[in-house]
Amino acid sequence: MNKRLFALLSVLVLASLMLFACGPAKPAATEAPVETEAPVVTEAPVVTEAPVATGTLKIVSSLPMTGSSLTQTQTIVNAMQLRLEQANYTACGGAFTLEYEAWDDASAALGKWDPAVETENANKAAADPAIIAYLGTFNSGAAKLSIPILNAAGPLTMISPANTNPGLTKADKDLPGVTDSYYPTGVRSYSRVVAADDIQGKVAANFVKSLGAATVYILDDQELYGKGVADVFEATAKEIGLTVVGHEGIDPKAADYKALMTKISTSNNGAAPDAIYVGMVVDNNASQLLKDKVAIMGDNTVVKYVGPDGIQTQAFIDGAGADVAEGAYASVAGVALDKLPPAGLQFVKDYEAKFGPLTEPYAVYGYETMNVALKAIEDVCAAGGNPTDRAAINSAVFAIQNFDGALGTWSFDANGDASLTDMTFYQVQGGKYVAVGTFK
Amino acid sequence: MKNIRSGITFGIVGGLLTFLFGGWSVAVIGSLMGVGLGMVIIGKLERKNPMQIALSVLPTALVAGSILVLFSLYQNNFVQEAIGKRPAAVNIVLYGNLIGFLGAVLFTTLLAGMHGLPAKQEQQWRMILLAMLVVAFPFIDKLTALRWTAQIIFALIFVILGLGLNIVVGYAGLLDLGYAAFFAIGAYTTGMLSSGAHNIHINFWLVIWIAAAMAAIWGFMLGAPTLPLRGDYLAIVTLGFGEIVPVLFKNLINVTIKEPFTCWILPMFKIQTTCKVFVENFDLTLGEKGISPIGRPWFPFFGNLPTNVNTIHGQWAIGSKWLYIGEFESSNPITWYFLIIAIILLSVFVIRRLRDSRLGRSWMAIREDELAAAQMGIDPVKTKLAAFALGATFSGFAGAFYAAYISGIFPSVFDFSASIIILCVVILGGIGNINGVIVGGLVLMTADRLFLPALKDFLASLLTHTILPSISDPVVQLAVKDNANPILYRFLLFGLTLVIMMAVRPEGLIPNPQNRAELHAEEEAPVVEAETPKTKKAKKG
Amino acid sequence: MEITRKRFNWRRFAIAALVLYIVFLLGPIVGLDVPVVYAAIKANPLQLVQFLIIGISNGAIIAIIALGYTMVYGIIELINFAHGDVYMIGVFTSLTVLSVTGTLDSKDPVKIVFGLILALVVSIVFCAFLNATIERLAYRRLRNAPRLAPLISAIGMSFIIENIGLMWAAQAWLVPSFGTTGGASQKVFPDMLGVLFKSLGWNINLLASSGLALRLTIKDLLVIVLAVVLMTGLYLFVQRTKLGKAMRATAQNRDAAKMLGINIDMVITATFLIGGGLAGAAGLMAGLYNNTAWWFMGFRAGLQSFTAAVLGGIGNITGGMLGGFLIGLLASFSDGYLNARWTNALVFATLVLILLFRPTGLLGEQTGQKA
Repeated sequence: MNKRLFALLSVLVLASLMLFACGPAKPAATEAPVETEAPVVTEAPVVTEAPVATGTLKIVSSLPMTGSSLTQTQTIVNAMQLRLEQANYTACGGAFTLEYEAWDDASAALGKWDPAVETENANKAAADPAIIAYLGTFNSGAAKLSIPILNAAGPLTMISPANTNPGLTKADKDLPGVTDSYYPTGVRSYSRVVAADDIQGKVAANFVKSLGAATVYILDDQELYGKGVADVFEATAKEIGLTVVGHEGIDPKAADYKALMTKISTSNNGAAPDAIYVGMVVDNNASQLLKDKVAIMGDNTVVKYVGPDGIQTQAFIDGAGADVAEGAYASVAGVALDKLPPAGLQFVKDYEAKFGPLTEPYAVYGYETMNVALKAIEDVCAAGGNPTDRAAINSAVFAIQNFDGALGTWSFDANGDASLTDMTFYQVQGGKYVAVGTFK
Repeated sequence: MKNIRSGITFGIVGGLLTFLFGGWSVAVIGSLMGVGLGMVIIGKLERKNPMQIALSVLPTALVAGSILVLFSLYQNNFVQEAIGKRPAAVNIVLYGNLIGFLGAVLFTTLLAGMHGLPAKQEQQWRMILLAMLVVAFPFIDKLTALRWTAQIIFALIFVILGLGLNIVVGYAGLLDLGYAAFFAIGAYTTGMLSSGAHNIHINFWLVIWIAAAMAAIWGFMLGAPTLPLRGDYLAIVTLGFGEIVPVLFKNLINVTIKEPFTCWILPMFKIQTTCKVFVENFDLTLGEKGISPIGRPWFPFFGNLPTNVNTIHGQWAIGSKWLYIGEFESSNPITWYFLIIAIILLSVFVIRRLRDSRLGRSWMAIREDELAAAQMGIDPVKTKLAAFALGATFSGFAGAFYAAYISGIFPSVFDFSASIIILCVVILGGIGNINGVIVGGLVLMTADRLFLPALKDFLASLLTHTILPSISDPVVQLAVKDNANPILYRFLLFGLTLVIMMAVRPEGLIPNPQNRAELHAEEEAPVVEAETPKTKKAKKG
Repeated sequence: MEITRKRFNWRRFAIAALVLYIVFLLGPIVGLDVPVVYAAIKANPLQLVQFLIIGISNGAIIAIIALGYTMVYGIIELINFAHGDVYMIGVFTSLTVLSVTGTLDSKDPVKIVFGLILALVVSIVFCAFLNATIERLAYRRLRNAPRLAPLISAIGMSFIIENIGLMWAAQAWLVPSFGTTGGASQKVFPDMLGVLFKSLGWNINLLASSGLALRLTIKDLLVIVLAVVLMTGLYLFVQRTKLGKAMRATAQNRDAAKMLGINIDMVITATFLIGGGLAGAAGLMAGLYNNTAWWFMGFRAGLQSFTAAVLGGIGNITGGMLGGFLIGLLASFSDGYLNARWTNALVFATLVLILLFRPTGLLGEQTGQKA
């Protein structure tokens, strides 16, 4: 009796499992949650001509939306949505509906980008055939994980608004072969609209020299980005005749750096160096470093304090205090917001009308990545191709030349780097970053 | 009547979960809910004829299933719209809810019915049922496109870590606050030995053992000097170790080692020597750059051995198409899922044997009373060292798996909070109990990686579409939006878990009966089925 | 019992020599390249004094926090993990008091002095009660539980308080200078002492007129003096008052103390109150000295202070003080002469070495280890 009952019940369980397996024909991708308040296009305007392929094209972004980067990434996402709204969420003359989802590649456990989450995002994108462009990442370390996955999936093109590590596109002389190993299919599928650190560090060294400094001390936060910029800075500084007094990594969680700053204050044959270059991001105690520097060596007119875009954010000034931060410099790739080409100025105007004042410099890069993605889709359609074909979209991205975008007129090279080499320097004046000049 | 109440509770909880995930999730949630409900209510049932028991819980099961389906339908028809998403397609709703309902009813009654069998048979049948679910899960997940497998794999990594830490904390009673360090050592061993970092590419199946051995060696090296210390000092030393190890991996990027005598001690006394430099500016760990990509496992047993192992990570097919499961690529989580299940099964087997061995009994003796144990002829230091080294071994496995699965390692992953999460897994599940740790790991990690982000998204889109537009003041609007983020309160939740568990239920969700008896000594000892080695020990004398 | 002269312990000497050799062998990794360090000291010997000043000032803050650890451990043998975070709350409390009273924007020296005194008092009282509340909620009922239980509870409490700090740092309506960048980033604790001395017309560097290239600021002096005063007061309190005597009795043997009619609960609460008050004072001092408020600062400070307490001999007030100063000096010299990125690792390595060679700490009593 018992045994028979269980045989029966087991059969039922198996049957229900079978039901799972066989019931729905194509369960995947039928439900597509629409993230944005996109006007759900009820009926695409009927195109009378020959039956054009119609459907949905999905674009996703993968940026750290949890933790301290949120202030920057939120503006990037806003800018991307703005560009889509301008396109009315359609492409190829209304033949395709565009959908956009903003994914988060940070986890609460780390409070910043998480390797496990970024990998999962890339896999999720690779598995969803409707996705034809992957916009991200914010952190170069994250890109190292997702590039190979997306490269093997089509390749699904990946366009980054913020990765600055040179090794992602250009071979690193210290690690031969590693850059190529990111692209297992041999086809390049990763591009970026922001200048890499090798340009940022180089321009920064020239800028420091132009400030009249002859000696410089370099500090970095030991991270991929910070150390990368600092290393390039050091190499260029030596080339152009600046004396590098020292280069040291710091502990980003220390309570204070008074002893370190004391050491620096006499490092230049008993005197302080003319400038200090800090390759770091604001989360790694950049404000504390500046505070102790000012306490030991006086304000930033005496010993110049110059950093990369990692400290060009309001959080840096809030953390150090407006009077302490006064006079510190930071470089950002591209031109100042008010020096943008007409398309860029229009973007700033539209953005501010919708989301309020724009202070973070990365928003326009987010806008430009979406611009590139849409341009690639239109190009594929114009050439008579099918924009749901990932490989076609990818080649269209790499074919972009003399693109008239929000950042100016530029082209992609074979590695996927945009021909944008402008660097703008900002200085803290009265508690705000103010652009002081653009260099190449 | 009590059962019906549990049924209602489960139905509501499951139903609310469908709010977060929507679509196909109702089918999976329903089945899991059925298993959970079945497990919970059998505790309150008497052993009767299976059919009678099954019938007696049927109303409970039906109530739970119906509530779930009601919530799910409400979700699809109203909530989806409120959060600005499209309702799911009709066939998903139909099949999803049907399967969810059936799953809930079936598994509840099945588990309850099994309770009518003799204890041993019941155990067997339950294991069979669970095994079926474990095997079926990734395929169901793939079919329903929920993509939970990747998160479950991550949870299972923490289950292995929890199992390893359980040896140290649960069996030997030593508080280790830097356990993530061994995880890091395992991962970095794998990373350095099978990647382009030093151009060494060793097969994963070999590296995983090297990683485990490396973690064990470091466990031994850390333990040897510190274990004679008393418990609290040990906790703080392990904490320090856990802080140093990520710093080491971050900073060992220009290693210089010079022989001091030849370089400066002898020259100090005006003796001319040539300075012997062993290494200069050697980049050992690549620092924050991280090591990626890392080689993945592949099977040499099937198909041809690839000529160039490091470019072909792992292609394997078992001949015919229908047996083809997939290769070890990160885009296909199913193979990884079964790999980690295999590691867990192996770990559980080994840990069980260890626990029941002479060594395991010594651990518990040490934990209960070190002085008495020493008097009985147990060497406390040796025993503790064994616990430390063996505990570290399992985190070596986890580390190797993590490195290969993610194919990239970065030092900041292994910081103090990782150690604390592993500790939470052990405490939440039940100190000293294998099943408890497994449940604890699954519950905590799915809550952390699946539930909280989903809740965050749900709340954010709900607010955007309901309350936020009606708030005119932008400052208030921003404040509401920012503070309605459950991830902000994550540390608070972890902290509360620890404090409340310690105050209310220090023995964990699924306690080790021995621990429970000890912690609730003043209450009447609950009658529990024997799972402890204590009874065995008594028998063996 | 025959009294023999202690023989020279060759085994110990050999181990010490081996450790020293390994330290020098691996030293260059962390920047301990003896000829380089020697050249740096020789080039600017006066800087040694400067690092001494910085080390002692930083050490003073660590020492005050360490006192709280050492007292609690002395009485109930619990590492009060949340103690470092109570100190962090002290920083935020004093900053909030300064902001609410309008002291932050003031240039009037009288107002600043009163604001600072008020902040000190409020911070001490608030942190004292917070610490006692933690004891009441999380530790008291676990007093007779296995030793792991209260320690785990303490870790949980530490997480809860850190999260409170994280939320606190996001409340710009309370302190406008927090800005709108969220609670996770560092916030500025304005340099009130600098403003005060500027408005009084004093030079903040006391050695400015001496002609030496040294800085001994009023801030340094204030931190050191306050620390010494607090420590002396605490020492006298524990040695001379009735409650202090009760504390020492409880620390020695809780059951015996109870039998003698000492109210154990009251004594333990008092201990936590004092420890919390010290952390509150340290919070204001650290805020004024380092000018930073950050939700995560308690964790690092807590670890370093605990190391200091162990270094000096846990349970020993003078030892905790000594340990704090030594840790401060170690960190300062490591920043100055070795490599700043290794400083924290060196502090913990010191902890391990101390526990290896002298588990009872520098001034700890040679008691048998309890299991």
